[in-house]
Amino acid sequence: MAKTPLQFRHNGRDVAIFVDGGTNLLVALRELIGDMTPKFGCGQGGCGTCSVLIDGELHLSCLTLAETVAGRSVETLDGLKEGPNLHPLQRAFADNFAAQCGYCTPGMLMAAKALLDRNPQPSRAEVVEAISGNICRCTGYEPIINAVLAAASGGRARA
Amino acid sequence: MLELRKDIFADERDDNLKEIGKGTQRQDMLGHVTGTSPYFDDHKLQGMLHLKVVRSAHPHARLRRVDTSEAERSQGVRRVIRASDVPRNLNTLLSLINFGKDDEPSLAVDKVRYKGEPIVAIVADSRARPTRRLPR
Ligand code: FES
Ligand code: FES
Repeated sequence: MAKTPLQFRHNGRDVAIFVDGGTNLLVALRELIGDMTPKFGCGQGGCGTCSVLIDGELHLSCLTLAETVAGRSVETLDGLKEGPNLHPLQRAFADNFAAQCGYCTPGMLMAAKALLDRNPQPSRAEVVEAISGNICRCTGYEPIINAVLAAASGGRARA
Repeated sequence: MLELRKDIFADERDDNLKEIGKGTQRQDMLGHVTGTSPYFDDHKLQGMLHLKVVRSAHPHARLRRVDTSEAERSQGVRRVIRASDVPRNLNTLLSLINFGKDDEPSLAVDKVRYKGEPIVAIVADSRARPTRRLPR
């Protein structure tokens, strides 16, 4: 099968790969680019652990055709750290016990980032809404919601 | 006196054991929040092959014929495993509790008894390769 050349920005870096027709973005990121931070949970849009940002907007990479991100900017958890330092959301997740097995964490963090980028001071209800597409099988959602709120108020102090 | 095997956890904590009453960061947390904790699906071993299982689409049906010829010819397919290749199932729940009677096959032999019952396993170079071709 003929492969299609594909270029996009991956966490601020230009990447160029060849994809088979029909390849989804999750497979392209994990298997062709080697970024293992987006996880495969269900592969059918039900769990959210594959969530990435495309041009700043939250998307499920398992349901995104790789070719549709040509020329666009894709952000994953791998790009969240600010140099050697954890992003405030990562700090808050660690401090608030917001990960147990950690499998949902990449998706939770990207969903939370998408929220805080457009709404730095969300209400609790807005946080719940923002992570409503992400399933956590172990932590329980309370610590995750608290972590996002903690990161948001920490952000106010920083800004 | 209880002897503590401190050598085993030497790099995990210091010796004063004054942990009660204060928060302690879990060792695996940094990996979780940076997405670097390795999960089963994240392993890339040298020469790693992938296995996919063709399962029954029917709740109860006779297996008249299992045609694996197309799968065998497919590029990248290393091996097609059929029921006759794995005559004994060593890992059933029943065998684990020493139940005695243990008649659950690894792969269905002449009949499938539930929807999703494994019929054929295909080992291939990549996940994309295994194709499905379901006889009935
Ligand atoms: S893997 Fe994409 S939503 Fe579950
Ligand atoms: S921490 Fe395990 S699924 Fe959320």
